[in-house]
Amino acid sequence: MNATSKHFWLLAACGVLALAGGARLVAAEAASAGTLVITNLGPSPVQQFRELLTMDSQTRAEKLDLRPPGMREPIEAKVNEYLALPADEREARLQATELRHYLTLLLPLTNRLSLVAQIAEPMRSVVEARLERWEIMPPQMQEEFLENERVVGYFTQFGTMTPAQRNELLRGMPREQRIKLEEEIRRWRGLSETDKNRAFAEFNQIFNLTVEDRAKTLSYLSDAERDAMETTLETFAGLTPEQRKTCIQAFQKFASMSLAERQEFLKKADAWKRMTPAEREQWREVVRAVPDLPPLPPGFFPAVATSVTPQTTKSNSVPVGKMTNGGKG
Amino acid sequence: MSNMNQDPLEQELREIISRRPLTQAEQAKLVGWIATRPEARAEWEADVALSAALTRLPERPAPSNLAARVLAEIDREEDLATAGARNAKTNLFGLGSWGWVTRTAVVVALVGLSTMAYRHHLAALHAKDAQNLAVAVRTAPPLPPDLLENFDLITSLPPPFPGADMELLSVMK
Repeated sequence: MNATSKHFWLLAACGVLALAGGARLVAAEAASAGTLVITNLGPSPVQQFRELLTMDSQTRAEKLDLRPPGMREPIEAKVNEYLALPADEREARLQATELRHYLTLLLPLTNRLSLVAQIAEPMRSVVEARLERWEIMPPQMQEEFLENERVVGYFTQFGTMTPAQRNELLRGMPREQRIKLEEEIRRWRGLSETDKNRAFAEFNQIFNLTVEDRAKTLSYLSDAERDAMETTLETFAGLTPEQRKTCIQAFQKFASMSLAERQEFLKKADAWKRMTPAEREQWREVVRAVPDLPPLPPGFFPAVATSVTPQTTKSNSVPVGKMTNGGKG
Repeated sequence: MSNMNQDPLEQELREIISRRPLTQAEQAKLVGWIATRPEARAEWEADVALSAALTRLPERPAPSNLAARVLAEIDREEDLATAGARNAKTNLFGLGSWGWVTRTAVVVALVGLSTMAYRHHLAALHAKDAQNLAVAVRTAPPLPPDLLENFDLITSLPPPFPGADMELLSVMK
């Protein structure tokens, strides 16, 4: 990261804190130029938004009236948008947004690990685990990828899917086709691991067969199955044995996915196709350095998923269960 | 013939007559006894005649190697018994008693049947594996090798659905 962009991130972090209100920023130029030390994270904007969601409409209006004109309306629109969401979906978005907020704030800071203690559980554990993964990357890589939206997205993803997200992924698929595919996938996933491994060993073996033996193996299949198999075999025909082995292993992983997970993969594959060779290489570097993300703490999502229930008809008041507590840890 | 309820006198006389002819006194006892058992007369007359005939046969000396021959015969019988037991263990289904052509034919047939059964078993396994694989292939689109080779990298990409709400962060500043 060059000096300009570094200053940009530091200023952005300062800006987020200052605008959130209550951020106590000790902006001291440290030994190395451009290094800021922040001692207080301030309240989380997501936490403030959660509080708005739980208020009745009158209290919320009074609270929003304190904001300058022009800032109130977008917040009201967001409140209405979130109250209209199913509880799980709403909570997933709030969690993802809050994680993003903290990571955006902390990643550019040198004292980020010491600030994590100010975040309330269970978000603290998630942020801490993600920062630990970030620390695996050499400082030069960290600086390089700090502004890379894709990389930051990698560290802020949850690796889970809400029902709404799953439905969104499957929406474009005709119902009959979906039912049929789900049935086939269920059938495949219902096989024992031994049978699955044997089937894919057979797949690899097919390439070593004579034309006659291959025809014999394919003769066990129906016409439709044989056509599908021959298309797949053609796809792999020009590969070296090593490439073929890698592809068959990947195909086996793909086959083990649910329909929604497959759709998700295909969408990511579209994104991959749009990436430039340089971007792919960058991505390779990141995944090589940090090949996996830590799992979410047990009960993380379910524990907070019901913290905000949908708005009632007469009142906007929403009971609050367990909530994260922004910067008041 | 003798029976379980033989008279003691009759029993005594039979033992004697099996070794030598009866003396006159013994004959007198026999006559007296037969008088009380007329149904046994015929049998006794035959026994007495047989005993007399045996007495008339010339006595021959036993061969000098009789004992050796008897022992050898005993050994032979034991050997036969041992060999029989051994054959019973090694020659299943009594094959040992068959000719070599028959034995070879049976072995060839058994090997052939086993091979056929094994090949059938393998074919069944291949068929099952191929059908299972077909299920997997049927559910999946033919993915280009480029995507499969980079499968893990692609899987790691951020999800395609909206995660963090950047707009929310912006309006809540």
